[in-house]
Amino acid sequence: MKLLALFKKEAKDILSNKIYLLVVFVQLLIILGAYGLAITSSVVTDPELLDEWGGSATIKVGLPQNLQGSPLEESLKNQDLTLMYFPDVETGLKEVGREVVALVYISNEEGDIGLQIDNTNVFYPVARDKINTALDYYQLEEILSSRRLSTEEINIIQNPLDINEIKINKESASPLALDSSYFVEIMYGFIVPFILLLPFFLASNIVTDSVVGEKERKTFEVLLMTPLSGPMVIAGKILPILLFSLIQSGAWIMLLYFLQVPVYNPLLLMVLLFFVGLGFIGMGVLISMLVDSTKEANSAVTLLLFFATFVLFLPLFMNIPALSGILNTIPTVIIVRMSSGPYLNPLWILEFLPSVFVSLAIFALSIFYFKQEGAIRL
Amino acid sequence: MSSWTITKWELKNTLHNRKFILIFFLQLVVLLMMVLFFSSFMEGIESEEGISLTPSLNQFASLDIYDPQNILINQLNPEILEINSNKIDIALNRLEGGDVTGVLILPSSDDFNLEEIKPVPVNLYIDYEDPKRSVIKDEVSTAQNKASSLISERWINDLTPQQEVSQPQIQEETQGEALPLQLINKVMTAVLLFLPLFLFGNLIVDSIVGEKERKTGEILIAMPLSRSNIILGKSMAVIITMALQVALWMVLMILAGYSIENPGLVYLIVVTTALPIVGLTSIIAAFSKNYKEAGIGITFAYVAIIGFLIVPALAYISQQGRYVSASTMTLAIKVFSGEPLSPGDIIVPFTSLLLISLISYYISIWLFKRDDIVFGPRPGILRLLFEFATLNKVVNYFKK
Amino acid sequence: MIKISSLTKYFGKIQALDNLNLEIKKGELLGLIGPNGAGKTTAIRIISCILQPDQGQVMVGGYDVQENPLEVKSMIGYLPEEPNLYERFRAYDLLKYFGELYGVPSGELESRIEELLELVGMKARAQHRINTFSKGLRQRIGIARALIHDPDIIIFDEPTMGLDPATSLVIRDFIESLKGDKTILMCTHYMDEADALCDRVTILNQGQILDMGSPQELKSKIHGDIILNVSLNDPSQVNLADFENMEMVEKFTLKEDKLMLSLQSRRDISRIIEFLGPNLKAVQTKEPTLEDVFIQNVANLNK
Repeated sequence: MKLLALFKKEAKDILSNKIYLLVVFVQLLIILGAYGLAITSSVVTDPELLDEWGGSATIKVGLPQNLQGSPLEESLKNQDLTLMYFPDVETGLKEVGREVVALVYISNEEGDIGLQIDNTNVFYPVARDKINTALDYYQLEEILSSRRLSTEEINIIQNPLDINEIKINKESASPLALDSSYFVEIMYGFIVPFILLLPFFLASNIVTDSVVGEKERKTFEVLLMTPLSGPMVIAGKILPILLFSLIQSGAWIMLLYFLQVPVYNPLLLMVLLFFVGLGFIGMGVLISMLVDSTKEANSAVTLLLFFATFVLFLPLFMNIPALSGILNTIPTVIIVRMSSGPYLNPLWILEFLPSVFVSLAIFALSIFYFKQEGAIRL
Repeated sequence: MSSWTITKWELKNTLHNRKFILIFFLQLVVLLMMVLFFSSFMEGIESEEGISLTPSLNQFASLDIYDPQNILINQLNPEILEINSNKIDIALNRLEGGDVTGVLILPSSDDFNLEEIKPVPVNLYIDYEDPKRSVIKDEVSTAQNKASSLISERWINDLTPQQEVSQPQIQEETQGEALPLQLINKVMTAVLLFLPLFLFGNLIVDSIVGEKERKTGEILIAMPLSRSNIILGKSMAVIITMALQVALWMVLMILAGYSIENPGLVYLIVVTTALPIVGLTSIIAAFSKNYKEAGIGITFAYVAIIGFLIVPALAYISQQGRYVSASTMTLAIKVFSGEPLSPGDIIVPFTSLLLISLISYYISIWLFKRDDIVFGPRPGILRLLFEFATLNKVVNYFKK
Repeated sequence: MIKISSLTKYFGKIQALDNLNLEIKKGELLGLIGPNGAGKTTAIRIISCILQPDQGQVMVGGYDVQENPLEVKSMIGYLPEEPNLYERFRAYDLLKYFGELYGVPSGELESRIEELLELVGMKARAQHRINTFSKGLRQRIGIARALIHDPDIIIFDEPTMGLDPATSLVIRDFIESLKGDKTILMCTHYMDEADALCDRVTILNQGQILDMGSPQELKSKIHGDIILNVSLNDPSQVNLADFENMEMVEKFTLKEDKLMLSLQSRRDISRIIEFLGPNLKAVQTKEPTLEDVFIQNVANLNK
């Protein structure tokens, strides 16, 4: 009952704060932005998707006039590249990086092929991929055509592996916005854990605002005079914040579902996020106990979030086999593993334990400091 | 002269504040971490064949394979795929149970002889319920390409073992630094250089809003100082602090191996950029009633300023420097990469810098001179704009 | 009701309370006076379980503050120097919030709030926000808040500080009306306030009790019963040695033509007038005040 009164007041404080609501809205923009960026960059770097979306035509490749009608031109055309012709190689080379992404030409009398390509172009990966495929075909065809082989044989030699794809669970297929490996990797490997943790970055700010604010306005003294124990006061302060963050994370999971990036094992993820949140908020409480003013709290929280970003997101971009045992217990790595597939390995839950332990330790420490007279201004 | 007294005391206060010193050096530690992170990141993406910015997800997707003739297994990328060799029935069972996302089955030597020129039948089972199916498909197709060229070559050699194969060679030449590398190298260096300018907004807020909140501003204003001296003195102190941090920052970056040409000139450019930033911050500080308001205002203002600095820099990089530098950040990039400068490169950013500085200090002094801003009740923004444009005088004139 | 025994508290190296012993009886109004930094607020904070004692024991209503803080807190109503209210709350909601925090049964809470608002004369403003209130109105709401759970013990920390005389009077009358029913501990810098309201006064300095007793006792300790301020026609005629020999004169000073005499009893006034004869220009009697006691005590110590 007493706790409920505090809880209600704190919840009301959060919901009536225009800035927090604004930040929630900004998060929404960040999510949509990241999603859009992931889609565009997937399309731009994936030759098949670029074909599908009709973007290949924008990749312009130059050829000297004399190659018009040659088998080389034919194989480049087969890759859906837009070709431009130049009177000679020199003029063509000048236009690489301006009019065209690359220039393909015959460099000597033995028929060797020169390829000048501009690295700085946005479409560089796709252009390089397509041109190389075309040149490989051209090379192979040059060799094979010199022997008397049937087209069927040539075809077999060119495509020696006949991969037959068997789709399992096709009816319950995961509805993906883009069937691209780049998209799946960047979404599940970075953006999903990033989005799910965003609300907790906000949470540590809210908690210092709320505690340090009361400290500054000296209302904390009055609150502490009420017959609530220290842990109860902390619980009443942080539970609404924790709940607010978890609800946001839940909402973002739903949003991702509608954006066709289904996040799997959401309930278990929520359990993990609960503990991660407890850690974040515990740090916020600790900071509030150690500082005297909102200004100091803001600087400290900024630094905390900086370090948290490193600890949580660096492991996603690192590849150190020796440390994999430790890295596997980092919450973001667990989120990646749990969210990216419908199946669940019960052993993963064991990997929660370090996070749970660390969070509870931070939280216990914050309660300890809370009792140590850090809560009021003397 | 009186401005300098204020500057001196503000600086003294700042540097005597132990918490400030702590934060100051923590920022350097953070920078060091960022520098280390980016250099290891750069090594990571430069060493691999292509350049991609995807996270290095160790064994992100799992694939079971039955490949007794080792046709494909060695071509698969073990960094991305968790590959397990298993018997067909075990592998398919694991797929059924959701332990793996895909199963790849190749023929054994009993069923298929690689010497014959015949397509190798490969079965790829993929669990479509799992979104990582795309990764499996993509990785298998990459491996397929690599294996195919090996097999084709072998077959061609088998067909004509003695015959000299004359094959046209391909000479590939690339020009320019790759886009992602440029983004990281140049833009990141520039962002790191300009970062300190955005870390000390709280100092000016503290020295202006703080005086309002603690009501010490009254004492300051009561002293024989003009209010413009107060604003200028306080701003100067913050600019000096920033300059100090930028200097340390640059030394650290150069020690960490960042290539910065013309460091003196770069330093000058960065520190001059502090002028308008501090000016805009002091407008917000002069207007705000409390820390919270100032905090929000500054967040939005800094996002806008960063945009103003960084967007021309990005545009410059994607256009390969065909246009003159529109922001000082672009200019800094040009200078530290040792590119030639045109007069426009210097005139355009510095003119805008000067203009913004003058206007912003004029506004903040104008605001700070108004009693209703300093002591309240504060007029609304619209009314202030109205008065700033001296439209009220026009209205009053007609009223008469 | 409150029993403090050998209480000591340090803040780092600073000793805020030094072996403090104090007992407050049920229904008593005890005033705590002392210079700034004497340890008054620290003592209050320890009694109300915000701070922990380093040494010694504090019992409130039979409970130890360290062992049963929640029971102790439920018993105490506290009004800090500044009421420290949540600015955005409406007066009614604030009282309701704290009522719930103190665990006032919801059935009683509403009538209790109405009653208190009536009592502090704020009924008409129940739905106004705190940030629209003047200092005096805030103090009234602060008092209502402190009383919301009908505590047995009430602690006032500078209840009339910074208020206009009229509002101060209202608050003092209110405290007066609580007397007898509740046990009250009051810190104040206003000596006339302490004199008028307190059953007993404790003078605290540097964490130690300098003196304690009823206002009357304290006053008569440092002076006699009455002070006589005499203006003389010709100061040179007065022989100060005469006063030294008079038993009824406890103290005397002469500055220019002003003679101050502190007498044991009122009955001695006529004898002094008689003694001075025509040299006497004017005479004025003055009762000693608590302020004299305070200044005497603290000034002596700080010399």
